[in-house]
Amino acid sequence: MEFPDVVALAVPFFILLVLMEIIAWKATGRGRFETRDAAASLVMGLGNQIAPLFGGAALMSAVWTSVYEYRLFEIPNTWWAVALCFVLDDFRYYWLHRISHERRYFWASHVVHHSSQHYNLTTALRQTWTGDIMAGLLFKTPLVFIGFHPAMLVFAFGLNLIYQFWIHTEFIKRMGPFETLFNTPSHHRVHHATNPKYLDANYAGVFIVWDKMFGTFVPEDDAEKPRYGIVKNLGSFNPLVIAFNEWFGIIKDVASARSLREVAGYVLGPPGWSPDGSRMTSAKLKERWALVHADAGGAPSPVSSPAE
Amino acid sequence: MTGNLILDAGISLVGIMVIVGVTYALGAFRSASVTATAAADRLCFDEPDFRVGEWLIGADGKAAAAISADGGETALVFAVGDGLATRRFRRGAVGLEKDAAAIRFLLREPSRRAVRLAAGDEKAAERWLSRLAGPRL
Repeated sequence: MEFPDVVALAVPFFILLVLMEIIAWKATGRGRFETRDAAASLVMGLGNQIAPLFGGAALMSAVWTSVYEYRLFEIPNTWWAVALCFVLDDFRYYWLHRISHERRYFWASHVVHHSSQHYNLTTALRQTWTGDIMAGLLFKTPLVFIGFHPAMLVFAFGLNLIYQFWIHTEFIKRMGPFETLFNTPSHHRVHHATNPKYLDANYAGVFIVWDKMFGTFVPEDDAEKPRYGIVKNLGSFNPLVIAFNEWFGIIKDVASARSLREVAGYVLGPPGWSPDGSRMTSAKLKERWALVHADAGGAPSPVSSPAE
Repeated sequence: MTGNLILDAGISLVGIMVIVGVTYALGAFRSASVTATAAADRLCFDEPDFRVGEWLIGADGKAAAAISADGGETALVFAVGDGLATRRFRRGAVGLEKDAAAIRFLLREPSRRAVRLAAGDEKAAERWLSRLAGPRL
């Protein structure tokens, strides 16, 4: 069985659909686009395709070729094996994605995808340059060890990525019974939102059932519009800053660490961990939000606005 | 193989240029205006426990700063494209310098970004700088 490079084949359709969404935005006023944001997202997407050529693809190929030699099962290249591979890969995706939000080492790559304050089809293409090497290899290789041929896996990864493209839109509201089983624009808007009630939810790639099974599912609340981005939004559209900002943050923090415990906390703790607890993790953000809203006078207001 | 890579990269590059061009032509190259309302809304969302004592709203609508009610902290809200970003500092923990009729916040981040808070005139900039840098209000 031959496995085509589905992502390369999909690129012209990505471009066409982005253009259609832009025109629909202009015609209806729904959704939101900004030129520099879109350009940054697209450059990140291009970089994601090119980055493996700097050694990552060769390393992955070498590791997978070696591991495949010691595979547990002989899995034939048949349609049912592809279907099984697709489902298991989506399960693998759920856990990699979840840890990518819960541990800073993994977040340093994945934060790229969340760094836009917009939610449109260009956001889908805002992808990490470091994720495959720093995390993907670890989470994908077990599927090779089980016995799925690397070419089949690359095909399944591609299908998963293509599925996730179209869910990055504000144009599609709800999708009825389809939402029970599958990840949809509504579910994924929640995932990209920084509203405290939406933080750390809906990690699914294709099948939303993983979130429902493991307690991370949060439905979109019509009364609370998602606000996209990260809890400390970047002040730059520079692709290098987008790609490496969090890695620099880790290096800086590790350099200032006073013990191995602090090093471990900065690298493997949740994003926002600090030895003295002065920074905000997701859990603390949720706690703070609850506390402030329990206290009616807690929210800030423009007490004075002296445009002197 | 190499030919395919070049072709794929070429298609992507052309696509990027077309999309960026279309967004620009359709008026998507926009900057947010940091008004008192917009700054308060963003700060309320990002730092809900920050109790504002005083706002300094930039005259050019590109940034605003808030000094906390207890005088111990400063929050900065600034435009990033058509969105806003927030930073919160303990007083004295951020580099500040006067730049003619504005204050520059020197963010200690990989972007090395300096956020300019336009005060309107030099005298106002001096007053704002002393308020922002001073130990307490």
